[in-house]
Amino acid sequence: MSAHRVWITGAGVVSALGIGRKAFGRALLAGETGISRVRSFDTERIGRHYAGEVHQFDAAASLTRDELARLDRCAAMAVTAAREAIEEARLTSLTHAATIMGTTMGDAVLLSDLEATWVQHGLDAVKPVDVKRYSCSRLATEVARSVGARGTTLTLNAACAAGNYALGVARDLIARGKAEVVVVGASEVIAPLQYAGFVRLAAMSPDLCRPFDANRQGIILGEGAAVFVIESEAHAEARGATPLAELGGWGLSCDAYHVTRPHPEATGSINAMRDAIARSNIDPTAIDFVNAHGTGTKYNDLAETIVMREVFGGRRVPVTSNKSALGHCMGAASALEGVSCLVTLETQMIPPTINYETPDGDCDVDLVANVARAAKVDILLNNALAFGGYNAVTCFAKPGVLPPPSAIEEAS
Amino acid sequence: MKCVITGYGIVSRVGIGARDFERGMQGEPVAFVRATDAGYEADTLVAPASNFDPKVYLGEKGLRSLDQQTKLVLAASRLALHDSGLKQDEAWRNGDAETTGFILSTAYPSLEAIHELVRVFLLEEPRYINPNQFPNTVSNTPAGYASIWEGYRALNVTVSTGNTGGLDALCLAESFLATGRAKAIVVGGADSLSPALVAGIGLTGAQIVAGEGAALLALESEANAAARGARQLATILGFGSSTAFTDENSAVHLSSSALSAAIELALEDAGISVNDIDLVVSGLGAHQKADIVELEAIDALLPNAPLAAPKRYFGETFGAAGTFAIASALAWRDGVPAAAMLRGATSQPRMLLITSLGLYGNATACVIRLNARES
Repeated sequence: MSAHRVWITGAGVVSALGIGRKAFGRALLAGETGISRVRSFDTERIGRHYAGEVHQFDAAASLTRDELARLDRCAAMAVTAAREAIEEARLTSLTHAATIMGTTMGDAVLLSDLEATWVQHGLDAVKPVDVKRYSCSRLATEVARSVGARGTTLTLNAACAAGNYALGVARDLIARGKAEVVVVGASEVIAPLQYAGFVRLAAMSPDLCRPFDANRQGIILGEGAAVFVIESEAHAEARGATPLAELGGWGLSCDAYHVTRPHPEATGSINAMRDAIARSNIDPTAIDFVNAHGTGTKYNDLAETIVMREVFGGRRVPVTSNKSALGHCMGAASALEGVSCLVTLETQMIPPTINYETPDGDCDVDLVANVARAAKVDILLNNALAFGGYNAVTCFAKPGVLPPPSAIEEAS
Repeated sequence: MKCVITGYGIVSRVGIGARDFERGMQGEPVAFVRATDAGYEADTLVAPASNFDPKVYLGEKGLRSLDQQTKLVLAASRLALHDSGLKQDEAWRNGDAETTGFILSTAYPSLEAIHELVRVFLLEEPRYINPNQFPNTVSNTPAGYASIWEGYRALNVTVSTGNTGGLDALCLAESFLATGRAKAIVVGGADSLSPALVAGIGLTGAQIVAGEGAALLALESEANAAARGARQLATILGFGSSTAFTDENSAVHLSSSALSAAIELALEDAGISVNDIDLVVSGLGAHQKADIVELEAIDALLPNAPLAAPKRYFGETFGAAGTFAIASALAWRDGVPAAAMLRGATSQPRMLLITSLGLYGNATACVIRLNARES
């Protein structure tokens, strides 16, 4: 029995570039920036002042009063994005749907607030009702609760590759016939401690994120959420739903090298990308574009350049990094970038890597620099690397372009 | 494709390593300790892994910047590799790094590092945050370290679904093996006791006996285990998981109907009926309120099945609870001590249902078949 094809039938976004995927796509293609001075906490003592904060998000606009009472910002953004995705998919019943969400920490802000109260006012001042709210497991269960999905729920903590992990695990569930519909995505918020920690790792740029630029100085943290509705081809057909894209095979691997830095020869990342291509039943020649992880750190961009060279040989495949505009949204990054991939498939335009000024001879990728590029893109890859040596690559394609899933993806 | 358990590694209050744990699980439960006596600020009981000395398993080097959870993970991971014969004494035997993966469930990750670094951040200066310690605030770091220490390169995954996480991780491992992403996966859960966790439980008044430990299983396809001549301790037959909520607008949500649905799905997936179950290894025994809800679901579907409460031995181990339950089942192949039984008795249970109730509306169940001990 062959595996099931997996269609994406809806997507939703809460981002620094806009709420809703139309606004997001328009801003990305226009080369706008979502980076601004940090407003949610004082950065004076931290020594860095910029982030991709989502200033426009108004939880009350899409959440009920009960939801507002029980949901933190991280889950609230996820629920908002999920509602948009479900509306676009025109899905009316989700009873048997699984819910899979990626994140680094879930609601890290709630946890820092609890700890701060403890430090400043003593343990007795910490409210039990707030303690009960803390758990990163709740990201998936609360999305499920809010949208009425009653199947399996999973929160996958895969740091900055969490979005791709969620998409990949969700895809396998459907491909293997274990679920027909999955609400899948990722969400992340910026907490002061994490912001300061990245500064202490010497990983944070003082002003802009400049992926693949010779003068890149590191990441700018961002936040946001992106959620998709994915379903089996048969399920979509039966209810007359229109696929936006196909979610192809995905690859993952672990560097087993260093807890914060990628492998200098990018071995794990190369394996993950080759795996995604092989599991989509295609050759590297079929890939039209790669949405890079592109964090703007020295090591990441070098590693990804090696990946491009090793996987595609002499062929120059266009590359872009959404992080120049969104900042590094950590666990949510590859889910938000997944929505950018949908934008590219739909518009046949690749969003630009903004802030690019000085070419780096060691990062000689075909970068879509500063201005969006028109390109024929049928099949693309979404790349992610993360702390812990995590690598994950997903494949997005126009519906019907990929060959049928293969025996290696056998449905049980 | 059927998956089999070919070994396990465990660090807990009951015992460290498969033999020690087995011996402990066949005796009487060791008393829990008062949290205040263990150095925590809470009026509750805890089950710390008091005898755990990471240096015994990991050596002296490289431990300084690791938190307790990571040390539990690394020790259990090494013990699981050794017990399964995949890797022993720092050398891969009939397994290899490229085709072996690692999956960890953790319910409350990074609390130790966040607790400590928030204090540096607030009371001192952000510039005193130790960059070697900062990665410990990232929830997949313990699993990442497991790959760095042992070389698991096929895949590395961290999952957080609270108390059902151990079984959810196992279900993920089955999927990764079935899709040919790894030949063997070391999979399970770990959570550590920490000031924030214990104080938090104390504040909620939940009367949960917080336990500490890591329970990791070596999982592989039946064919792979046979090809390398590995012992097959148990076979995984099916999984089920579900979520349900009532109108009550609370963060914590215990749902017996989610567990009933999960049990029915697991039995269906395994192709068996309630009458085939010799023993239910439940999540009972460490959280009174959750026990009532879990029992309601079990009683509705399996009112007569012998029922064990392994958490009487090691407390609520959160993200590790599911694989702790499976390790308990492995320890009880030749019979379950009366002290572990809530009702009924069984001498040589073969077909087992493992149940776990989440705190957030979720529940997962799993069916396994135990194999007779090889002589």
